[in-house]
Formats: sequence, C-alpha cells, structure tokens
Amino acid sequence: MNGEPVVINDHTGDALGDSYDANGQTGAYRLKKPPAVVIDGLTKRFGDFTAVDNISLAVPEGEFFGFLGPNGAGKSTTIKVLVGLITASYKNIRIAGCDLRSEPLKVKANIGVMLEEPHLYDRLTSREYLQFIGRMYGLAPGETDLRTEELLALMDLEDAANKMIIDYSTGMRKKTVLAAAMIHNPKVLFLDEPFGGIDPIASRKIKDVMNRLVRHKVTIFFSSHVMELVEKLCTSVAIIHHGQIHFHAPMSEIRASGRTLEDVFVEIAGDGHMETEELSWIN
Amino acid sequence: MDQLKAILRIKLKLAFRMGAKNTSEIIFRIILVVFFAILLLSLSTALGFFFRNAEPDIRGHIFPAAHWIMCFIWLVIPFSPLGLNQSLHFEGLALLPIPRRTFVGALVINSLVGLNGVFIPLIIVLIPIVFGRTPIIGLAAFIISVIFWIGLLITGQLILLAFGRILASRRFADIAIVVGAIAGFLIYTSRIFLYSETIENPDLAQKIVSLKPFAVIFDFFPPGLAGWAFNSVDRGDFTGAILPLGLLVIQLVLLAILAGKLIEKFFVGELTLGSAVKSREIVTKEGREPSSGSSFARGLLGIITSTLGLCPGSIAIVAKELRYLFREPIYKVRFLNSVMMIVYLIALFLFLGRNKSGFATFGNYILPLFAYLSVVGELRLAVNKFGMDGQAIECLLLSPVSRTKLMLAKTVFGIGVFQGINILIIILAAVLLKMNFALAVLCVLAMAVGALVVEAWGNILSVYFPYKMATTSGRRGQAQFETGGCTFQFIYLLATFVTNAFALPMMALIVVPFFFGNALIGFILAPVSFLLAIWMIKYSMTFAAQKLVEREKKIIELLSRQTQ
Repeated sequence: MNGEPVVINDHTGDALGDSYDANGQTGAYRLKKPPAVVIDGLTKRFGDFTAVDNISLAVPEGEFFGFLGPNGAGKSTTIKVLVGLITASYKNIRIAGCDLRSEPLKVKANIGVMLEEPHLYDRLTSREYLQFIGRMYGLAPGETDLRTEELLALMDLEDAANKMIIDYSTGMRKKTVLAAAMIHNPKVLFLDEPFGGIDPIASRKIKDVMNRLVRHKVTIFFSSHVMELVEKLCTSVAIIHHGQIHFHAPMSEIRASGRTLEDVFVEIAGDGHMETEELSWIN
Repeated sequence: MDQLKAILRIKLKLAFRMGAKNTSEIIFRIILVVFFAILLLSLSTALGFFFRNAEPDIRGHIFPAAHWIMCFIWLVIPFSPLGLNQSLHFEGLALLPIPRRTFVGALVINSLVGLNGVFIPLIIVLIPIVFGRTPIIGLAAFIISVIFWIGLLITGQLILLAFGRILASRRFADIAIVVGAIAGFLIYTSRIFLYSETIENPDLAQKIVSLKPFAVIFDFFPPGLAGWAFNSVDRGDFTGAILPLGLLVIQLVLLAILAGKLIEKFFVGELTLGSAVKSREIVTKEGREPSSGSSFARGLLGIITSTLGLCPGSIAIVAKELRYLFREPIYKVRFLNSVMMIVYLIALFLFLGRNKSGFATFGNYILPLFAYLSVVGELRLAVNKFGMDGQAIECLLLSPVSRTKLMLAKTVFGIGVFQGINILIIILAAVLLKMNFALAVLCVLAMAVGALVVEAWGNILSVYFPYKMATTSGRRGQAQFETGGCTFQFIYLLATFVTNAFALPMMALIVVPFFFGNALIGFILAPVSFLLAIWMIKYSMTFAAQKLVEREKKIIELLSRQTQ
C-alpha cells in the first residue's frame, strides 16, 4: 500500500483496497500520501447500543487529522479500538503499516496515545513516569533521561517533576500523558481532547511541537470539541455522528466553500435542530 | 426552613446510599442496621437483668467504660475513610445564599443523620435499660447520657472543622493506613508480652492498671465525668452528682462556643475543609541521576536485574513495582499483612518461650510452619499481579514490551522482593529462636520452592481473574482498599487450595525427612523439588503470556471499571 495513492470511502464501509472509488456524502477524497491509519468496516457494540457503526476511514501519513463529533458520537471508542485497548469487529485496521490484529505489539511500538481520561501510575513522579514509559519503548537509559528532561521543559513541568502525579492538577496530568505519548517519537499520535485543562502557554508550545511533528511526517489523529483549534491545526477532518462517519474532507475544501468548520459540524451533528430552546424564565 | 428541609432531604439520601452501588445493597444495609439494633436491645435487656442484682462497684466501672468506648469510636469515625460523618458538602453549602443559622442547622443535621441517627437514640434508650436499677436511676442515667452525647456530637463536628484540611489530605490517609497497621501489630505484640510476663509476674498487670495519675486525669474527661455522676446517683448521693454533671455541662458549653467560632470562620471563608497539605517531593540527592530511587531500592533492583539479565522494559516494570511498594499505602499494607503475621508469630513464640507453656510444646515444628505461612501469605498479591496497576494497566498494556517479558518482570518482583523478604525473616526467626541449623537451611530451600509454585499459579490466575486492589477515587481522592467482591474471594480460596495441593508436598519433601532424623534426605530431595518448581514457573510464564495477549482487552476492562 505504501507509496500508492489511496481513495477512501468515508462512510459506506467498503473494503479498503490499494485504490478504490467511493461516492459518499462529501465525495471521494483521494490520498496523496501513503496511509498511516486505515480503518475498514469497524463496528463496536456495547450490548444493544452500537457505539461505532461500520466505519471506514484512511488518514495519510503526515496528516494532522481532526476527528470530530458530538458527545457520545463514538470518537473515544474509535480511538480506543485503534490503539488496541478495546475489542471490536472490523475487516481491517492498519496503523503505520502494521496490522492491528496480527501485529498488535508493532502497532503499539509505532503509536503514542493520549486518552481523554488518562490513567497513569500516579504514585510515580512525572519524571519517573516518563522514564518508565521511555524504557518500556526500549529507549536507552541515557536517551530516555535526555528526552524526559526536554519534554518536562516543554510541558513546563520541571518544577513539579519530583512530585507524585497523584498531587497534580488535571492540566498537569494531561501534560504528563502528552509527554509520555511523544517520548518514543511515534509515527502516529492519537490525541483525544489533548488541550482540555492545559494553560495557554503550554498549549501554544505543544501546538508548535505538533506542527513540527507533522512536518516530520508524524500523523496526528486528533479529537477535540474546540472547532477553532481543529480549524487552525488540522489539515483534514472527519465528523462522526451516531457512530457513523458523515463527513470527511480536507480543511482546504471547507475553507474554499466559504463556511466555517463549526457551520459544517452543526449542520451535520445538529440533526436539523439549530434553534436554541427557550427558557421560560428568561425574557 | 425550606432550605433546611432541602438539606435534610439530601443528607438523608446520602446517608442511605453511603457508597452503596444499588438499591439491594441499601436494603441489605438497612436490614443489617435493624438486625444490630434488635441484637443490641436484646443484649442490653439481658445486661439490665444482670446489673440489677450486681454490686454498685461493677455498674460504676461499666458505665464510664461503656462511655469511653463510645467516645473512642465516635471520635475516631471522622478519621476513618468511611465517610459516615461527613457526607454533606460544606464548601458547596457555603456557596449558597444561606443564612448563618441555616448553616449551623446543616451542621447539626450532618452530625445527627446517618448511622448516627440510628444509633445515638438507640444507645440513649439502651442506657437506662441497662443501668436503670430503679426508674429514678434510669432517668438520671438517661439525662447524663444525653448531655454526654450532645458533647460528643459537638466534638465530632469540631474535629471535622478544625482538622478537615488534614483529614482531607491524601498524605494523612496514606500515613494513617500504615500507622494503623503497625499500631495494630504493636498492640497485639505488647499484649503477648504482657501475657507472657504476667505468667511469671502476676502483679504486673495490676500495677499497670492502677497507675493513679492517669486514673485521675481520665476522671475529668467527659466519659469519666459521666461515670462519676452516675456512680453518685447509683449510690443514692444525688447532690454528689451535681459537681461532675456541672463540669460536664461546662465542658459542653466551652465546646459549643469553640464550635461556634469555627463555624463562623468556616462561614466567612477563613477555614476550609479541602486538602491543603503540601505534597511530598521525591527528593533526589545532589549529583545523582534523577531516575535513581532510594539506595535500598536501587541496590535491590541492581541485584535482581543483573542476576536475571532482564530487558529494559522488564527492568522498568520491576523498578515501578518497587517504587509503588514504597509509596502506595494499600500495596504496603497488603504486603505488610503477611510479613507482620509472621513477625507477630515469631514475637509470640519468642515471648512465650520464656515460660514453659508455649514454645517447648511446638519445638522445631514452628519453623516449617512459619516458612509455609509466609509463602502462602503472599498469595493474595501473587494471584492478582495486575491488581495494584489498577486503571493504569492501560499504560502497561499500551507498551510494546513482549508479554512474556512483562510476566517475567512481575514474577521476578514477586519472588525477589516479597518472597525474598520472607526468607530473610525466616532466617531471622531461626536465629532468634535458636533453631537447628540444618532445619533452617531446609526451610529456606523449601520456601524458595514454595515461592516458585505460588508465583507459577499466581501468573495463571492473574491473567484470568484480575481485580483492582486500590482506588484513589474515594471521598478524599485517597487510597482505598478494594476487595474484588465475592468472586475474587472465592477464586482466592480456590487458589489457596490449589497452591496447597502443589506447594505443600513439594515443600514437605524437603523438610519432613528432618523430623524422621535424616536431614540429608531432605537435601538430596531438594533439587528434585526445585526442578519441578522451575518447570512450573517456566510453563506458567509462557502460558500466562499467551493468555495475556488474548485477554489483555478484557483485563483492561476489568481493571478500569469505575468503583464508587
């Protein structure tokens, strides 16, 4: 698959071949680069509830990909399946060229993950945690220490680096997880609401680093509710609603249409109910 | 009034739920409370009949003693992590536009509603039933008890307000868990010491009990004063009760004034209940790499890793486990439980050894017993190797470390640290109790075999039946024990049987020949046991690693379940 252009089908669930056409709601989206993330026919059910309904998607290498959707749409579930944390049924999932089903450890070696509600070893300090993660990814001790110190500086965690994570604020915990997700220089970064609770200074620094990573062909699979942020950072977006992909297009296409991402999002996810309900006691 | 009604309603809901996960659990708790209430009532009636004909001296001792016990329990409740006393969110209430008197009312509701609301009236009713020899004495006992309980309620709330910041801190809870475990051990050990000493010196206990200065001080605390007042009434000296009762009321008024001042401070925002204790910084020594832990931890880790040639990922896991053992109070207590049990038994035999009744009866048999108990004592941690990872298992299983190496790291830690310390303790026991040298060596060999067997079964069971052993999501965000429920308890029981079935014969093979007068056979059979144990551990690691790959998503799901 590598090196060949791939056309993805954004919501019909057809098998992804080396090249195929599709006529989804938003039209075919031809990939110019080899795909870093390929999802084919992913479905996840919790009892009777279908959280993710037969989605197919491909994200090219070096893309800053925004994965959007209203609350409960299936974003976090999809990310958890892609990183191998929960089971689901699918025809094919390939991350960084590795098959999730047959090469789960290879997939894990190539990805960095930050979940919306991260669970850390909170009796370690952030420095110890980063060193632990670095060693788990097979980095040499000297390299781990070097990267740890640089990441602590980037995240403004140097002063708190010797305190246990259990005493951290939500923002500090998120920064720690984000640093851990980047320490092994992954090919694909999965970030679920990464900027929630992070202060503007660190946020700016992180955005700069992410842009730098994308320039170095790292793919970022980014989920957020902040439309402005997605609009500013992402090169392409997909909108998932009721477990199905309803929209997938490059940001340039949205900009060219003269609409904002929020307009597109509200149109798709708003289910046609655009007006705000009245509150009887507010005149 | 409407505000107070709303506060009462919410407090009632909180009190009934009390962390219960569903309606059936709430109903079960109500039945339990009613059962205990009926039990207490029956016992009190029986005691009442007994005390009616008893000497006044006996009643005079029991009344203050009962009040001391109630006082102790009541005042310890705020320090416990159970959240029986403080379920109302006072900071939240202070944000609302409520007048000061409503706030005071909320505090009173908070102290009265809940388990307290069931037991305080019950206890106050039981007091005259137990101690009321005549209706007048019963009435007097009732009045004294009511005054005493008002004082206790105020003191309970005072503790919450004055020490709320400390009580709410994680470090306090962490320290309290470990201190509690060690205090329990010390109490039991001193009891053994006193018991063994009093066998030889019967006057000792009497001397300790009758330490006069302490007795006088105790008389002027509320339970002592309540007892003093009751004694006077019980002897027919009603005027004699005026002084202690007056002192009790004065103390109560002073407490109420102090509580009023603290409430005022809290109401205007000068006092908060949230944790404000500065978190501990993990200090690293100058000139040392920040990655290094304590010198003991580093030394131990160095020995383990260099001996076994572990990969970087496995070393990182062993280092993390070691740090967790030092820092996670639940982990520490779970580990100390088994270690202290053996230390306690050693102390028991060490002290009892001074007289002829204990040690001589058991002789050399106790060392193999200690060896077996200490090996099996680690079972709870061995059969749930991912239990202390809890929700952070995500970090571990997101990593690309081979699952065999992951299991190896966990096994190495179990054998090297848990069982290693146990072996050191048994060596110490052998020295202190002057055991036969050959037997001591055989016991250590048997323990090593037992450790391998326990860890082998532990590997397999850990992959199939993991449960979260500690949470930090409690009321104060502090470490709390998780039991794993009935399923895990059953599994644990089963694991004990299975482990016994394998470990006991293999350990016995080494030790038993000694008791038939031939230690050499034990030494000859030891390699056979070792080979079998090594095969078991190797097989279990490979098997567990395969199953871990298949089951890791299920394990994440089981360990990530939110608990109340």
